[in-house]
Amino acid sequence: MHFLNKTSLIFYASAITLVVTLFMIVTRYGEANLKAEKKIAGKYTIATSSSKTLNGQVLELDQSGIYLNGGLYAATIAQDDRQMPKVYSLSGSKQGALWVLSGTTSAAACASTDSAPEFTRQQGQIATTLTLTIEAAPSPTIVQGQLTCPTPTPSVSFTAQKQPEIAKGEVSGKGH
Amino acid sequence: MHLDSIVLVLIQIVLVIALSRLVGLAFRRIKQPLVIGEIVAGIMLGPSLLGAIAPMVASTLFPPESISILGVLSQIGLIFFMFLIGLELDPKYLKGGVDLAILISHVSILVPFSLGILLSLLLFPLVSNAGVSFTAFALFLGAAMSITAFPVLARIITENNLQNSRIGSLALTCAAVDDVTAWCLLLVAIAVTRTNSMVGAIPNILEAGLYIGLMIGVGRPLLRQFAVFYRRTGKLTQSMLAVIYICVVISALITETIGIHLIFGAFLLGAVMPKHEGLVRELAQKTEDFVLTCLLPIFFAYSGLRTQIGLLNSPPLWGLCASVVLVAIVGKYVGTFAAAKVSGLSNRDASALGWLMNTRGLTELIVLNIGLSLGVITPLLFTMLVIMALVTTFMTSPLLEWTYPKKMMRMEVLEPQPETTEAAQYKILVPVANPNSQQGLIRLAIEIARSQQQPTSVHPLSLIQLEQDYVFESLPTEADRLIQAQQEKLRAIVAQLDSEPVEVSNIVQVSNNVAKTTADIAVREQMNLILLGWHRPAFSSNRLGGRVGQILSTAPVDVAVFIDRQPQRLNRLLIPYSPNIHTELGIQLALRLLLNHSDRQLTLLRVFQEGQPIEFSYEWNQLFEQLPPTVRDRILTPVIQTNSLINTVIDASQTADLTIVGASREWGLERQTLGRYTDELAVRCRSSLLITRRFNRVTSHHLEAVLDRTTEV
Repeated sequence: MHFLNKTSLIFYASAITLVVTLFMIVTRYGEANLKAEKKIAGKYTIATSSSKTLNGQVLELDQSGIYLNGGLYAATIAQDDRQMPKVYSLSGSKQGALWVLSGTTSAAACASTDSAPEFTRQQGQIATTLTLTIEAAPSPTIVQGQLTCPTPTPSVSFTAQKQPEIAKGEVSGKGH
Repeated sequence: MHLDSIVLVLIQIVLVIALSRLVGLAFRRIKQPLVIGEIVAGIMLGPSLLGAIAPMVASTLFPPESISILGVLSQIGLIFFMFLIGLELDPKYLKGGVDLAILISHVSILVPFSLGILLSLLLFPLVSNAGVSFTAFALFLGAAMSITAFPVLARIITENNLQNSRIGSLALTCAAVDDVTAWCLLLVAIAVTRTNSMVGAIPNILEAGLYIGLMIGVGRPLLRQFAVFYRRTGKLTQSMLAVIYICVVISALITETIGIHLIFGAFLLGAVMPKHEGLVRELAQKTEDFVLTCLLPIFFAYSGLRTQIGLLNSPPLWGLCASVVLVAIVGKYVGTFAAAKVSGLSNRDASALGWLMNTRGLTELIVLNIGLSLGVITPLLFTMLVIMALVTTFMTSPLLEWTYPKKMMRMEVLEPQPETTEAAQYKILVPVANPNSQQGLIRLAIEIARSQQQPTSVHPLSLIQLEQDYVFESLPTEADRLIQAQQEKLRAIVAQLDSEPVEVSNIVQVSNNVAKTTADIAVREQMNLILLGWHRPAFSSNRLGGRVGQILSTAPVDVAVFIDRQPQRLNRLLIPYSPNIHTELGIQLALRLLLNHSDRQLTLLRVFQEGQPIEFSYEWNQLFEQLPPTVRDRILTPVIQTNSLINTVIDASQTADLTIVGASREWGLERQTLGRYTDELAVRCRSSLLITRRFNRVTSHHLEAVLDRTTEV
């Protein structure tokens, strides 16, 4: 047991003490000063909007901290939810108090306002680049947002209500 | 298209098993562990590839209702896989230098753990969701960074034949200690995650400690009865297997109920099972086939469905991912390197150990899936950590080879290998596929090597091919047992032969590529000749194809293929003469046989070509002049008029003990695997046949020493 000599034991003991001390300091600091991002993930039904076609659509959000992925779907597709996990068309992160996502969604979302240009009406199924802004207010179950469509289409404002979560039948030791 | 759930799950299973095997084998071809390929196959089936390029196909094949069934199957697979890991954790690994291993192992955990905790300061506000305490997050990230995959490491070491090298042995012991320590750390992390506080986790940790104590104090003595029963019956009966499996599941249920994960119960039961050699082997073999080929790929697929590489969709996120990978590598490598240096290992040893311990593989994937299920890590962090696990495992083999070439590692073998005489100048390598049927091959090698003028050695070579990863036989201890058994067989065969004064030294080792390993050994050990036995290839009509063909076409030394007709004597030698270098090799080997036995005679058969007998080459004439008269007198050179060379040789072979032919164009031997004429000769020749292929056009050293000294005498 020549490796368990005095030098090795001192090295071993100091290393463990150092790590335990580091763990205590870091966790104390982390618990006191660091906050994980509030949960925003879920499915939101768009209740009021300046776009007629956007009303009733489902905004689905998947969250990893300050990073968001999501998509706008017709209610039937969102309920169907056939793929796990989804490949989302929008992605972004929290910037200040706002969540900013960019990506693609159906052009029809911008097409139904009276001032919408002709191309969005004709190309309703063709994806268009959009910017989506969501503001978590006034309650955690409601989000307010703005859909910025390509110019000259005007932006679409909306409010969405979070759908109640259905507990998934996960098997792998979840939720104990 | 709507399919019934069970039909869909069966289709998924077919797809998962087939793809994981295919990708796994592709990774084996690039010298990576099979398991890496299987993990990649799982990722390919998920949103990272299939979901991205064919979302409709992905959603049809993997709808959520079937995913839950896959989840159940993957958990069952995981339970039994963890049982196997526990079962394979043999205290034998802890015998060699355990104090050094504990020191290195624990420091190799402490450093990445510390860096993981520090990294959590950066990651927690960015990628963690509310509801998870910082302590749980930091503990989990630290644990994820500290993992070393014992099962993958054990296979990498065995496949590289390093289990008896100093560094391989130390790495195995370290990884075994690391495994147990990391699982304990994970246990604490899970308990803290579930209760969301260190204090709240204390009851769970105490209960887990109590259960571990009970399993060691009460469970182990009870489980010893399995060994007693096995000794009595001599086999693992189905009833016994059923009882063991029930115990595994009950143990998993208990740990799940306690509040730690079900995998701990399964692992613990495997670890405290009696390590009776026969029982463990039979139990592992019966369990692993189904678990490793069917259930584990399902776990990888289930994990792959949750891995979304698409989430890393911006440079800052890739930057975070790179920092995770970097911290994991630096933490593990630096921790191991520093501890090894403090313990007195050389820079090279410490560095090699660092890369070996950096292997995370499948163990990491198990930990990450638990973390994702518990919600302590988010899908984004899960993806980053999966990439880290893949990168660290993928880099192990090449970095190890770069830091510490295998050749150098093998020079530091722990167990003394049979000594090969340094002065031995003439060496023959004899690959032996089946020692029981190839005694004649070794006898011929001894006869060719035998010389009073020159130190000579014959090296029967037995290569044990491990077809798959994660099979019980590829564990270092099991591979060692197979090697010992093969050594014994070879020793028994050699003992029956009169080998004086030739030194016979066996080489037995693991190989994944028999032809390449044979060629490598021949070069490394400076063999003069590879003497092969004839094998019928399974998938070719050419009798000299397959592995023999591969060695013939790739080995950079002289090769001879022996087709044994079980001769008791080697007195009458026949060579159909053809002026080329391959026949010259045949003549040189024949002359060696002539020189060491006065009863032997050689017939050099010549035929007429264009009305003239084939002329002897200048080289042959020179050589003939150098031969002592006692040898010259025993060489006959008849000339025969014939229309069919093959038939003439076959007729002449009736009165010969051994016919020797060069693998030359005259015999229709242009093709890589020798060709149809020699193929025909191999079948119809009445005597034993030796087909020779000379590698070097210019030099050949089969007669130099023996002729010089003979003529001097």
